[in-house]
Amino acid sequence: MAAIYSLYIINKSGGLIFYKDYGSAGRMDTNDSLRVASLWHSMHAISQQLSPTTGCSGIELLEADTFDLHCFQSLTGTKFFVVCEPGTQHMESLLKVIYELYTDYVLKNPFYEMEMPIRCELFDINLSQAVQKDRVAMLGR
Amino acid sequence: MQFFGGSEISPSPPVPTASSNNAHMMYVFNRNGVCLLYREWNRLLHTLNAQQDHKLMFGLLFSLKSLTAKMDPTNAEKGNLGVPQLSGQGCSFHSFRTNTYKLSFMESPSGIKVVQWNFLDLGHALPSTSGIVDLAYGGITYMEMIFVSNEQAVLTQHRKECIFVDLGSDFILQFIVVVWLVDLIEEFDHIILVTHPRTGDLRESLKYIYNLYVEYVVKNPLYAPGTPIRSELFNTSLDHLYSFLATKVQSLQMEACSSSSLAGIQLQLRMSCADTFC
Repeated sequence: MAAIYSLYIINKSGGLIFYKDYGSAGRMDTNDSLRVASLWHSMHAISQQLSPTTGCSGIELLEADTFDLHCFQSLTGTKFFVVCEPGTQHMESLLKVIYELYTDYVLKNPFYEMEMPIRCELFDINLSQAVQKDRVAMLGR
Repeated sequence: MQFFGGSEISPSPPVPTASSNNAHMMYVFNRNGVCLLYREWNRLLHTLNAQQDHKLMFGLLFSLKSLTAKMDPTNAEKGNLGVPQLSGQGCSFHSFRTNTYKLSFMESPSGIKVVQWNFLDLGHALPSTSGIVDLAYGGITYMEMIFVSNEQAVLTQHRKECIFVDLGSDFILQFIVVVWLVDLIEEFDHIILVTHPRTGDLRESLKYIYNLYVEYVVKNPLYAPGTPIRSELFNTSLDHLYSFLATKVQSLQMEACSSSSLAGIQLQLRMSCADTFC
């Protein structure tokens, strides 16, 4: 599972509600992941302001030297982003799948409180299946 | 360390074409966040006034850079979020894309000039090279020489004079002289391009702009480092580059519409790239 390094879900006010690391070298502690998530939230907002045309919905792909960051924002403002190896394919569809899992196993869970950290076993199980490398490759077909 | 090769600039104008609706913006910042140059072509929307726009742009880049440095998944030793980093240190980024635009970013340790010669015989190459260097750049006080041979690379640092390095009988094929112009050593510049989201990788264009910047701005004796750039030659060559990029996007869009003769268009693009960048 080297292709995907980590997954973040942030709520509409920039708070981290889910963070999972899939074996990157520099795993972040809780404080750092919270900081990074809220920093991303504001960067996303600023990028909308700087757009030369109307109708900008924020950063979708950030290409860094050692990783790519794909971001998907749902209509309610929840943001999903994965950090993966440079040039990894089919990340948009993976994010859509993760969003589906989120609606199915998190939002439909009666014990889940909105905007709070996600602790749902079924979500974890299905997510780890979706993220597996061969499953991601199948999404492209 | 990155070397930006291809020091000769031939601003042969790529064929300027008809107008297009593609917005392009370009920013050049120095490392203190002063906007040295801002150009725009066909920008439709101005949400902020110019000064605030520049501030916001620099802030975005600065924060994104510290974010990527902290996020770097291949490196375990990263320090805290927001620790100031030198150019080339830590993981940086080269572009991001939204649904309406693409931003490409280059950070240069400016003032580095790469001069490259190929010699067959080291024996008389060294003295003559040092002569050339001294002649061409009277003000050099710091020099770094990298010798590349088949098996070994030796790095030596000099002040004012060359030291002969004995590499044995192994033949030296190539060596690169890196000349740091001392008054520029502290200047780090950021060049930013904002383009259509369908544009491809613009890192080569950024290097080209950097070369233009070195040729027309840095080498201009009347230009004081850190002040806004007012160079007519620089501006016209940027206009040429813009029209080139706009045609590139147009042909990409055509390609998307007709999706025919993909290979032909790619070949064309490559040829026009070669025209501009070589």
